[in-house]
Formats: sequence, C-alpha cells, structure tokens
Amino acid sequence: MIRSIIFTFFLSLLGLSSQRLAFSQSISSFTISPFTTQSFYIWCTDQNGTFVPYCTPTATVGYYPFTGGHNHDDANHGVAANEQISNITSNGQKNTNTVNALIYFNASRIGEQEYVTVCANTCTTATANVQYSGFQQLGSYSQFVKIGATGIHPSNHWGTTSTLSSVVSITGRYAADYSGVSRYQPVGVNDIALQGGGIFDICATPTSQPGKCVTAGYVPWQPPHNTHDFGTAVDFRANCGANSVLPAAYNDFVGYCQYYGLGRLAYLEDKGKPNQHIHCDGNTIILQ
Amino acid sequence: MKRLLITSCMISATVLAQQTGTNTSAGISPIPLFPADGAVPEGLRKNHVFLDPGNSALVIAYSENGDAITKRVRLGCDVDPFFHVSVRRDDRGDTLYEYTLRNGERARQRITSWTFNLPLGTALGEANQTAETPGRASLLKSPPGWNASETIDPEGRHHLQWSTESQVGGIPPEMWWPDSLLKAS
Repeated sequence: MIRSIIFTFFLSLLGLSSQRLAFSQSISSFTISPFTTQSFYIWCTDQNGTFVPYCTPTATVGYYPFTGGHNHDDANHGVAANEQISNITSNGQKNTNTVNALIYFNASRIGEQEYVTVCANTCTTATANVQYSGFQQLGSYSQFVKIGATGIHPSNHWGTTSTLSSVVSITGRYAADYSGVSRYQPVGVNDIALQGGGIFDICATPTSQPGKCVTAGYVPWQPPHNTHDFGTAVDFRANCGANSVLPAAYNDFVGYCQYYGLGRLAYLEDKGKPNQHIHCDGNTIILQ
Repeated sequence: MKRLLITSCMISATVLAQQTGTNTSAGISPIPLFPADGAVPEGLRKNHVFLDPGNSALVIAYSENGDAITKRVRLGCDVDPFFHVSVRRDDRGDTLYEYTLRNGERARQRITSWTFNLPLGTALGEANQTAETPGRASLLKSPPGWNASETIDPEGRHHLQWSTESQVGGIPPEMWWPDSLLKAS
C-alpha cells in the first residue's frame, strides 16, 4: 500500500523553510459549502491512542480573519447568533463505552477559513474551509478588462469554470459584433464572486462607499450582493463610463448572456445609478 | 438517603476519574469509532466504515450471508514527517530547490510517497524535453529507487510527486540520520 503525505506548499521566498507536519488520526481540515451541515464524531483517546469512554470533548468554532477574500474584519464578525460565523450543535449524546458523541458543523453563509477546536486534556484543531468547491479565477483576455477590485475585496473575479467560460464567450461575441462601432471598448467585467464564494459584502464599513453603504443590507458580513455567492453571477459595466457596454448593445448583450448560459437572470441593474450594469446569472438559487 | 447520596458520589467520582485520569487527547472525525468490543451499537448499524485510532486503521464492517465481517485497512497517517526546503541559485543563475523529508521517531510506518501542490497556474512543464534549453530548463530529480513525476488533478492543479515501489524501501521511522533523507533538486 502506498502511503502518501499530501500537503500544500508555497515557495514564495528564496531561503529555507522547515516544519514538522501533522500526526494524528483526527482530521486536520475539511471543506464544506456555505449554508450546509456536516456531522462529526468527537472522542478522547489516551496516550496510546485508545478510546477513553465517558469522555466527551468540548467543541468550539472560530475563524481566521482576512481569509476567503475578505481583507477586512470587525466586531460584528464571528457573532454566531447573527449567522456571521458557523456554529456547532449537538444531538446531546455523550460518549459512553459504546456510543460516540455527535456534533453538527453548521456552515455560515460567509466563505472563509474557520476552525473547530475539540478539547479534552489537550486540544485538537481542524481547519474548516467554508467555500464552494471548484472555483477558478478569471483569466485575462483582450475582449474585456477586469474591474471592481477594492482594498477590502482585492480579488473579485472567482467563479465556476462554466461561468468563466461564459464570460469569455459573451465578451468575445460582443467584441465580434461591436468592435467596429465607434466608442467600442473592451467591456469591464466587475464582481463575480470572492475566492471561495459566500457572502460578498460590498462594504467593509458603513461609510466605506458613501451613498451605497448606508443602505440597509450593505453592511459587513451580510448580503445584498445576493446572487454573487455562488460564482455564477457576473456584472458587466454599462454606465456609459470607460469600458462600458454600448447603450445600443444592451439588448444584444442580454441576449448573449442568455445564449451562453448566464441568462436565468440577465437584465440592466441599478438603472440610472452610477454603478449601472448588466447583471447576468446562470444560477437557479437565490438566498434571501 | 445518606447511602444513596454516597453511592451517587462514588459513581460521579468514578466517571470523573475516567474522564480526566489520563492524558486524554480530543479527536474529531466524520467517521465514528469502532467499539473496542467489536459490537456495533444499534445507532450505528447503518455505518459500515469506522475508525480505530489505536491501530491507525479504518474498519470495514458488513454482513455477508448472515455473518458479521470486519476488515481493517491501515491508514497512511502513522508517519511523523519533518520537511525541509532550501532554495538557492547555482553558478549559472538557475534556481535549485532541494527538499529533505525525514520520518520522525514517532512514526510507525515508512513514507513511500509524498506530493506537494504547485501554486495554481504554475507547472513544471515538459521537463525532460526542455532540459537542455539553457535558462529554461526545469528538471525534476529523485534519489535512487525513487520515481519523480508531475501530475495534474481534475481541477488543473499541478503536483510534484516522489514515490517508491519497493516494499522495503521508503523512509523508515527514524533510526539514524541521514539515511532517512530524501533529497531532490
């Protein structure tokens, strides 16, 4: 039997790096989609690894700030009562000599790195990657420019592979049909999703984007960038500024979205506002 | 009443001793533990995979023709890896990455394969085909008896992997240094 050690490793510096790796039968990490639940058994072992009956560890959840594409943090974050962090529930069952205690990790809607710590005399921590799986980052193409990155969300172009493929097709078709038209520019692709999806809270503080962040719902760790959780929704600039979709092409552009798989919700959003854009979404789920 | 109270205290004390009498470590797993007596409790009858942390094994439990069958599969986590990397430039200006992997004294298994993920979007490329192109060479080396390869997972992420097929090879639990070294550059 081939035994493997798999670990992620980044060589970012010239120099030396050493580390002792994990040594345990307990899991060290797991990945869970936002708003889902996974069950876990918790137990105690002695120094020989033998199960210790009638010992039920405590279990708590915490989060690693500035993960999941959120380059911001505040006191509101981590309040389980407000669903701004995942929480743990239990069926109330304690370990006996025959029964395992069971807990449920209820993932919040925030995509980020969290952890579960279970403690007996000593503690074990497992990292919880709360994220949607399979996201990729949008590459660079001549027919569009990536816009909308901010200090608080510096990477805003993550999505499912099919969504990113649709973006390339939509903007490519727009370029093919309109690049000969006066004032055509490669279209600006704004927010898709954060690195692992989940809540895309546009504002880090209520005043970080004056005029927008005072609106109810535009507060940290909450929606309303509602359909940008799943990596299936894309905003294309259409406010007559640089890299906007030409007004004469709005209807065609919506048609491109529909044709290339992002047409479940495709429409001109925030009409008349400075951030007017064409929102194209291929998802079938909207969280309220 | 007094006797009942004393009995209750004794039971509580016994349980407390069982809880804290040893240096207990906590564990967490999506897989339930296999009972020490082998009798799967009623609530877990639908489970067929269990964890046996004392033996570092998964227990597969099922019924066949009315007979209860259990099979154990050793986990690959009874190793105690210690990893070291150095990065330097040689006289030609090429960057050399040297990885050293040691299996520590707590290990109960040999390390026969190890992998690390390259950062997303990077790849070693056609190493052998470009090895003679000055300044563009990427060459993966391995110690005698080991194979080195670059693999790609379904999500397109590249991995570098070193492995040995030898049943007696691999890096044993630490016995002496530096024989349990794996070097690759």
